[in-house]
Amino acid sequence: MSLLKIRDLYARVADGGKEILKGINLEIKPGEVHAIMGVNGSGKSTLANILGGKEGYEITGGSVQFEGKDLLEMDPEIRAREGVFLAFQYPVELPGVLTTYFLRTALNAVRQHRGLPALNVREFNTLVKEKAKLLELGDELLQRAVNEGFSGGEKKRNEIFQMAVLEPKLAILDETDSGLDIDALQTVSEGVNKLRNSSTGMLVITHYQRLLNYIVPDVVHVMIDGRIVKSGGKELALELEDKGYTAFKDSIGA
Amino acid sequence: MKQGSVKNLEGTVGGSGAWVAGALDSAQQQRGGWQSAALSALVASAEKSWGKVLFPSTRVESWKYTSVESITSGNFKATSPGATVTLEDIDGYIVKALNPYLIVLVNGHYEPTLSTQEFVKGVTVLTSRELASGKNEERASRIGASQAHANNPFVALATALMTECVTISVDRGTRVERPIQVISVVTKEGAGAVITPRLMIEVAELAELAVIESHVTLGATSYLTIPVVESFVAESGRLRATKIELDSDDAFHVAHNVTEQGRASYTRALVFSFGGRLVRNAGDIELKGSGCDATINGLSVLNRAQHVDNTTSIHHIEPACESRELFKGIYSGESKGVFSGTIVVESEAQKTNAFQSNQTLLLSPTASIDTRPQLKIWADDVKCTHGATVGQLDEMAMFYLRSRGIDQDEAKRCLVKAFASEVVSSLECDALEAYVGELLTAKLESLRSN
Repeated sequence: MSLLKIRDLYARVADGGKEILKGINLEIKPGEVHAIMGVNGSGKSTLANILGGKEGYEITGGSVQFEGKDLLEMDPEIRAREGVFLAFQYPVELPGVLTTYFLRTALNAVRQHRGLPALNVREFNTLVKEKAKLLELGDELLQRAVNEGFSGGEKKRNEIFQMAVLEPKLAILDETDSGLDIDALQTVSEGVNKLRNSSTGMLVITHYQRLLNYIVPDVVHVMIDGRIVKSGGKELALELEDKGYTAFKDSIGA
Repeated sequence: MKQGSVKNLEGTVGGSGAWVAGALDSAQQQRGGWQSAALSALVASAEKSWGKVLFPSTRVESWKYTSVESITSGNFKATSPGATVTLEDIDGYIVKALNPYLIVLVNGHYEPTLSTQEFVKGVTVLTSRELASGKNEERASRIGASQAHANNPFVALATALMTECVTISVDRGTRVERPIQVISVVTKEGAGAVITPRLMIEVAELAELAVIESHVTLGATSYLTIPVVESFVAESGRLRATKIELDSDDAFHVAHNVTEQGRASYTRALVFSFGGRLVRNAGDIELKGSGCDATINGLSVLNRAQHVDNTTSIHHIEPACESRELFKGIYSGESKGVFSGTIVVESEAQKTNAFQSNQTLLLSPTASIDTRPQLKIWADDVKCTHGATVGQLDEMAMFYLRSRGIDQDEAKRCLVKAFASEVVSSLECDALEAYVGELLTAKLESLRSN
């Protein structure tokens, strides 16, 4: 069965705003990594936000199924508990909210939803240390308020760390490469690669081919003006890098 | 210079309150055999001032956003001692982790059986019994001696209604390890009562004291409490004062705290308002010596139709003092906050540093805040800032928390607590932070239904 099935999805900005998604079709199976590439304004971040459940959009047509359930009907927290994880393009700073508190509350909400017992502080600390080790992170991030005063790289690493702790079935990485220098990009990508497995699906949204050198996708989709205009293997990313988006625009007469 | 609030009061009358005469009579009867000339003179003078000022109307500048109409038109009676309260009854309100000395007032009356009788050497606590006898005139004469005392309507009323008072004096160089917790508890017998908890604190040169002032209720619904606390901190003395207001939802609480600081002294006041229907925390800090350090922070968390008014005045009289002020409010339901903070820097008070901030989180469309940060600066070499912000919960932050599986209520509580944490952590005491943190959590639970 597919993990995520998007059928003919149309969406616009709420209250009669601009139409952004104009018939998206996409299917991700467990273990697959899909990349969506597109220029700014093509609608890729909107798609990520809609999958995450952010308010401010209106679905005007189509459907999204997550493991056969209607994803669009779920509140954002239910989506997270069902196993959807959105790594933010701009992770939010939460002054006064300690990372450990934040993550433990989140993890226990997810575990409860999955019928697992809540972790106490000690069990949680053990888990977190293990995950931090896996991603080669120091645990100093944990002692700070969520993302407060973090560098761009630290924020993105923190997103991947949260993903490691919450163990989603589907991870949506929204421009995880934006604002990162090459070293940070490498570190973050390595983290993502360590979390790849046969049951987790990933949707990697990016502007540049660069990221896909590190996180090698199974399928690449090219998004232009709210539609996926072409899908193919990882070589499509290289073709795109080579020819530019204009060639694809021309080919569909956009 | 006199404070603006004092000047503005003269000649403006909001009403006398039909109930006041009866309450004044009862108070006079209860005082009966007071021998102290100092206290008798103080009460007589307060009766006179009260006759002149009466209840303020909202035309009075410093009462513009807080109407006391429901107090004026109410019906409050003086209380008599004798209500039975056990230590178990108030157990939950004692900050046990700090093993505090206790001073317990029941319906405004000092309760020796619940209060500490033996204090550490260097600490003297006197109550009305000793003070009214006429044998402790020096100390008794300090009650009502603070500058901001004159002509303030509620201070005048509280003083005219005074039947009891407590003084805490710390001798020179005495560092008191355990805090003194003063608990004013109103019982069922105190329903409909007017009570006037009265405290005078003296911290001598190089002495150090922490006081926790708690206002709680055991089953009383509506009552009026007018606490007046005067603190005198001498040269290089240190005073930490934490006020925790947990009155009943129908209670009126009109408090006045005045602090006078001598050279190089240090004070840190924290004001937490959780309960009450109408609460006013007036706080005056007079920096009368050079090199003083004063902090006054506050947190008000309200719901339903609660009203809280934090009106403060910090008076920089001498050079090189520093004051910091941060009041935060979290308002839901139809609750209303008022912040009016004045910093006055006299022309002699060069090299003053004064920082003031009021930050408000409005959790419902019907909650509101009137905020009025004010600086009056007569010196030219000073660093002073003030500011006010009013906002709602950040939507992106809410979405971020929810996107991690945290439900809406928990996300809201988490962000609200984070907003409050700056004030709570300024207690600089783990045990108190934990204690206040629990009160905050409980209060936030009750916001859920709003």
